[in-house]
Amino acid sequence: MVSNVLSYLAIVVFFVGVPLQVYRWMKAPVVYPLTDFPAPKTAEGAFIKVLLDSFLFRPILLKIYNSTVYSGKGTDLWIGGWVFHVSLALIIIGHIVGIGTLGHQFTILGVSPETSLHMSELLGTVSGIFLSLSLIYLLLRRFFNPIVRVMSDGIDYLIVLLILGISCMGNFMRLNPTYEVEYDVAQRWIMGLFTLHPVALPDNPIFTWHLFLVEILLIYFPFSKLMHSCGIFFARWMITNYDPKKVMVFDWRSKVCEWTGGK
Amino acid sequence: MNFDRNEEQGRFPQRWWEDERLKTVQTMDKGDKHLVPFFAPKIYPLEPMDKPFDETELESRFVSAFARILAEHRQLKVYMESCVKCGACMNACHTYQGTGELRNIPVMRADLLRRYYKKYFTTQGAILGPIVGAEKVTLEGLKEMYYYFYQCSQCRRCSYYCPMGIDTAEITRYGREILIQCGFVSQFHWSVLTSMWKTGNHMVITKPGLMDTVEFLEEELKEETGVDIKIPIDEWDADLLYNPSSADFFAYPDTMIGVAKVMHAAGIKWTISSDIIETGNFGLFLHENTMRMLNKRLIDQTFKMKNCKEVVLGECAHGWRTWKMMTKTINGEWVDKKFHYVHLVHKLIELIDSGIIKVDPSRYEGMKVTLHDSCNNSRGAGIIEEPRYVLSKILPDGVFTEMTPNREMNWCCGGGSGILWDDPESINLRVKLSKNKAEQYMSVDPDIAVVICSIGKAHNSFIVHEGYKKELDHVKIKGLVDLVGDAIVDFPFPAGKYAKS
Repeated sequence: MVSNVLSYLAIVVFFVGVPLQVYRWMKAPVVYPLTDFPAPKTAEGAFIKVLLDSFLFRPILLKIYNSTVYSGKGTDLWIGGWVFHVSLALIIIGHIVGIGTLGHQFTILGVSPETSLHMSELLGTVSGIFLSLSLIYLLLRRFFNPIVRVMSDGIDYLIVLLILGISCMGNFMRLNPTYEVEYDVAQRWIMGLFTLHPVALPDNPIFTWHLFLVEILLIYFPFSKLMHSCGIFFARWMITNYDPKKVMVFDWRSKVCEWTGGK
Repeated sequence: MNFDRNEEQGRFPQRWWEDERLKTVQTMDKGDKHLVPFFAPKIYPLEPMDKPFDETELESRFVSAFARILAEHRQLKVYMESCVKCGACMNACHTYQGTGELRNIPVMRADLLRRYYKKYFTTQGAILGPIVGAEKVTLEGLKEMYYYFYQCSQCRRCSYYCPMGIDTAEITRYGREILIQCGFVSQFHWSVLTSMWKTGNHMVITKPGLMDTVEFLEEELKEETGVDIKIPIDEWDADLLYNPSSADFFAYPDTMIGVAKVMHAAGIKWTISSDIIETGNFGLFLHENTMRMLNKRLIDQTFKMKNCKEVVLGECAHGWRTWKMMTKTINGEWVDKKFHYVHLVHKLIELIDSGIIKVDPSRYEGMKVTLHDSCNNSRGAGIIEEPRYVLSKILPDGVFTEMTPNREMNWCCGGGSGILWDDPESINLRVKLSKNKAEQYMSVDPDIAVVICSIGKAHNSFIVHEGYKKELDHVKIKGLVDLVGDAIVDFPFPAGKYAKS
């Protein structure tokens, strides 16, 4: 059941749902520029700034900077959030590449297949532990920070718990040799899924639960706030992009814009 | 809605409001038919009407208005679905820091609208309900939404803190538009818009009144400088059209006097059109169609001035943001083909840099001057370094002091989006909203605070002379052009104008 019907359902819902949601956003126009100044003057500059802002969480860093400089109020969000997203990204890439190449991905760096396997396992283990730790941190922060607690709905906890469950099961399988799932077993199962000749799941309850929760997550993804993974680029682009053709600009201003005195 | 240029009909509207109102009534969407506030007799600031209309209609009216706005605005859709409630905006908002009410945190404020979005426009909200924070529309809920949405000054400071880049100003702007369709509007905002309909400016100045005021200002100028300086009204052969903010005639005449001095010293043939003595556009704060209309009206009226080369916009921050950022996209690419539209600050830089007006920095020796970056000027339209450049030219070294934080991270004064209620209950609230700004002023303790914004002048004057009178009463709120006008070497420095009171 988990292996067949739900897997196909999850794949379809995720890979159809997310583009549909994005298409829904694209359909509506942006009526006027919403630029936050100072803005990059070119589209390339805006593109780079959006990427930096998105992947470094620069606004939260800025907040740390400002709070230490201006108000002395500490902030606790950046470490947890950034470590979580980076380790999550590493793990997703690791799953795809590691299962795709049976852990031999690092051979392109010139190492032997065995070393590559070890490196892959080490990286996966470390990222997994960081993922779980950062999730626990974020969960505790959400619960114990009085203001963040007030602004949270039930679903905010549930999503963190769901991902925490997935990551903990992954760590358990990685660290406990009894429940370990080899790359080739997973690869065989996934190949079976994609070639429409499903094979039976490995006899491993933890793996089944791990998979089940991932499928729940994938099904819920397009309907939830997890769509922020796409929305961040839309929203950031809207406030970063500055198209001089769309606003009134006067060429003689340039000499003022280059003026940097008085700082 | 589509505004065709009236030029195609071979004429400009004589009374723009008649034409535009007729057009509005015809073209507004079905949901807008009951633009209730037009008929609402008694809506006090921050106190929504008890029963705007039949309550059974509430839900359908709310949902239809919301759906229409969602279909037209990508930003709202993305913002509604992308918030992860991380709490990064906690300390970004001066309303929260001033009032201490949790609903004034940007995410909580946006949630007042987001809970309805989840209920009516998302699958998860329809199925899971309260677990995801979805709620049904009720009159109580809308009253709460009204109360907190009108405390947002739309300064956009939170958008610099949000990792997603969510701009809460957009949410409150369209939230207010939905509220209008449900019958909630601030009386102050509505009275301003009504006087805009009636007279074409915010201060209800008619043409005879305007001529009177101008005469008075000319007398003042004569007294101050000993020179006959004219403030020309409706001179059709002028080269430069100045579009002031109507508050400059009554509330802050120093700004008008400063402009007259600068123009006289520069020898520019300038004029003010009595039809458009208002740069401001309150539609930006609460109703998009009104914003488009008022913007269109400014364009039409400037196009009447056939001989003008240049249109200079006065010291009005949200007016300038609407002009710069929105005109081309909402009213057409053709707008800036005929004229040069510039901000007064740009014009001042041009005049000072080219040596057309000579300034004497030594006049401000021994004073302490600071600059308040208005939200819509600095964050909204990028006038960040320009006023500092002008100040560096007209002030001696060491006089200009920055407040921290400054530039685009500046605290809003608390009067943004036209929150200038004057009833006794709301005044206490305004004092709270301006707490951060007052603290900034107290830490710098300036003699003169330069504010390039009409609403900002009104609210900053309120801060220093009423709200925090004990500590800040000696601070003078001035426009940038006031200081430039008084620094011009052709005229004597007005004695006692900047003296400590």
